[in-house]
Amino acid sequence: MTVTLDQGFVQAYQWILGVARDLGLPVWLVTLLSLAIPVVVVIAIYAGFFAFLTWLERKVISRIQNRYGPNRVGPFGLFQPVADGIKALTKEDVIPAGADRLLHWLAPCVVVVPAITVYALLPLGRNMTAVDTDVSVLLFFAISSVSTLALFIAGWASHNKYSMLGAMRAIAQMISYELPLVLGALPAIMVVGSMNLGAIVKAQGPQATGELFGGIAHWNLWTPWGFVGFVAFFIAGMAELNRSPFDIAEGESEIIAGFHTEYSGFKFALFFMAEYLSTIAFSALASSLYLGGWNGPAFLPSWLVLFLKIFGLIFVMMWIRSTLPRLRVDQLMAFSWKFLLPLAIVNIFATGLWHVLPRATLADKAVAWGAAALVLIPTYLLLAKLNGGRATEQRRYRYADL
Amino acid sequence: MDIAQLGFVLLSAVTIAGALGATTINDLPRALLSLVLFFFGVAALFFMLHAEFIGVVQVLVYVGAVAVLFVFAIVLTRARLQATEIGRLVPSRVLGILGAAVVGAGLVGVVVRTTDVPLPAVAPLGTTAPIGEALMTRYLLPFEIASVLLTAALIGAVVIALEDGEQRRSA
Amino acid sequence: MISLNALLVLSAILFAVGLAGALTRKNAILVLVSIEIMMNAANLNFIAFWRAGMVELTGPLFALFTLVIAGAESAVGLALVIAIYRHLKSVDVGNIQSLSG
Repeated sequence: MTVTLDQGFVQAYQWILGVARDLGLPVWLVTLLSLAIPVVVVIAIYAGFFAFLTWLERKVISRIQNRYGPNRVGPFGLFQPVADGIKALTKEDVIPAGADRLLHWLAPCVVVVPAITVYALLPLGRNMTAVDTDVSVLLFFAISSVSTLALFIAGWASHNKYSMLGAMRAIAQMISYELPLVLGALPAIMVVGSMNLGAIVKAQGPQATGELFGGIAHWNLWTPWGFVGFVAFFIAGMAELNRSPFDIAEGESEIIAGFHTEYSGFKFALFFMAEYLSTIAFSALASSLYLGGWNGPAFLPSWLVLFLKIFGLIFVMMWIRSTLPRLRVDQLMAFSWKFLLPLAIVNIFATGLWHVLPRATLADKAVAWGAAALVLIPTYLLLAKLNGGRATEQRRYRYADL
Repeated sequence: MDIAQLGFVLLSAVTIAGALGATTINDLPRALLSLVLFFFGVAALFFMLHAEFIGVVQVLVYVGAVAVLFVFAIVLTRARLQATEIGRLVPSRVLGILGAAVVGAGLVGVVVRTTDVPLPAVAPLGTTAPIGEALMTRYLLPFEIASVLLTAALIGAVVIALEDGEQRRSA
Repeated sequence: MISLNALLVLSAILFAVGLAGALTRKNAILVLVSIEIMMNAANLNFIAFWRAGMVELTGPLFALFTLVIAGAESAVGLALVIAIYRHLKSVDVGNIQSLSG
């Protein structure tokens, strides 16, 4: 067996386990080792990724806003995350006087657990899925829905009206956007016929050797339903992650910092980490569902391809964050319920049409494209027209306008 | 005791503790969290019994939706200010606990008297696809009725919880 | 291995705990919580019997429909609780007695 860069991690893992068996370690210890190694490696790598990402986000946003960003600690300010970490660890941990001490402590713990757990389900590279179940897409959504409750605990336990307001905003927002999120992921599941992420990624892989960029043509994105599904999924995901412009739950100018107003030091760092880890996990899921996952050109190892796709998606999120202003609460709700949700539901119908129609010849393909476009484009135009009226109307102020 | 039995005992302990917490704790948010623990315990039991799909739906529906509904109810009724304590053991409460104990003892008594069946060692293979197929063929009518029921419940809940126009004007 | 009876006993205990809660709690929200516990105990039975017999998929499917009903029930139930709270400024089930004879 030759050691390749692509399978390097898997081979090293097998080698360590082989050595452990050869040393005559008891079976339970080997089993424990086989479970612990992926966990430790994934947490270590992606926590490092998180640290780098905090630096990257500040740098990117600074560039867009014509500033320098962090540039004091290390070259290009690269060691800024280390300084931030030390600061967070050594800060005083303040617990408000009226707070529910147990729940106040529990919330940051609960918020981190789902953010880390979902990594077990993601295919991080070829043969690199920790838990390969039948229902991995659904399980991903189920686990991440737990974080909603963590936000409530944080808001409630802080005994602060801004925290409570932020938590309720966050819950309302996450519940509303969960529907377009799941419905946005559904077309990919429908067409592949499996909720297993590995199968979905494999279906988007190259069908023959030597295809352009490792079968880029087979990505789900390049179909009418895939495009609409991806856009709906991506927007809903950004709302689910409380990222700008959907960050009304922690809008600094409105309610200080929302549910984590009363958290300082390491607990605040945990909230921050959970947010970034979920962002990375969501980007990995989006690329697995619509952007071909770890499939890429043969000269790049599969895990690096996924890294690059994750970075690409996160860069787009940063770009959007620094470009668009924050939404109002009513706009946010209306956008989910009146625009994204109907569009996602119609998209499922279009997916069904696409799935039924033959796509063997070029003419067949044109018919399938036409049929899907005939369903989706009028829907989009209609929804845009129906939503356009009041939402874009200039807001009237009773006194300020006089 | 093998590892499966150990897991089962631990899970049962967690589940029962969660249920007891949800029914005895006075502070509402804490009781709710105890209920979530119970939901997770049941979901884990489903996973252990190889009903993965039901386990996932359990987490998605109960933790992701029902628990959040309870959150909204707690916040909207300002229940922290309400008397929620179990209170003294007035006769009606004692009767309630006694009745529940009798029902539980009866159920356990019936179960113990039947012949015990060990669960088959062979795990059923992938239940997700067969469940999906059954829902679209043999159980299509119940499936459709369930969706109509959910729609009716959704509309009903909105109508019931909506403030009347008069109240809104006076508020 | 685990036996069927162990699961059934567990489910019976959970059901009794839920029943006791439903009969003794004063807060309407907590009564609904207790009902959810009882439904979950029943669901556990469906899955346990399916796992022991493994004929057909009736068990998981019934559990699935129970989940749907539970979701609908709690949505309507909590809407009722909120509506009652708005009228009576209380969620104590002891106070809701205007229909008692």
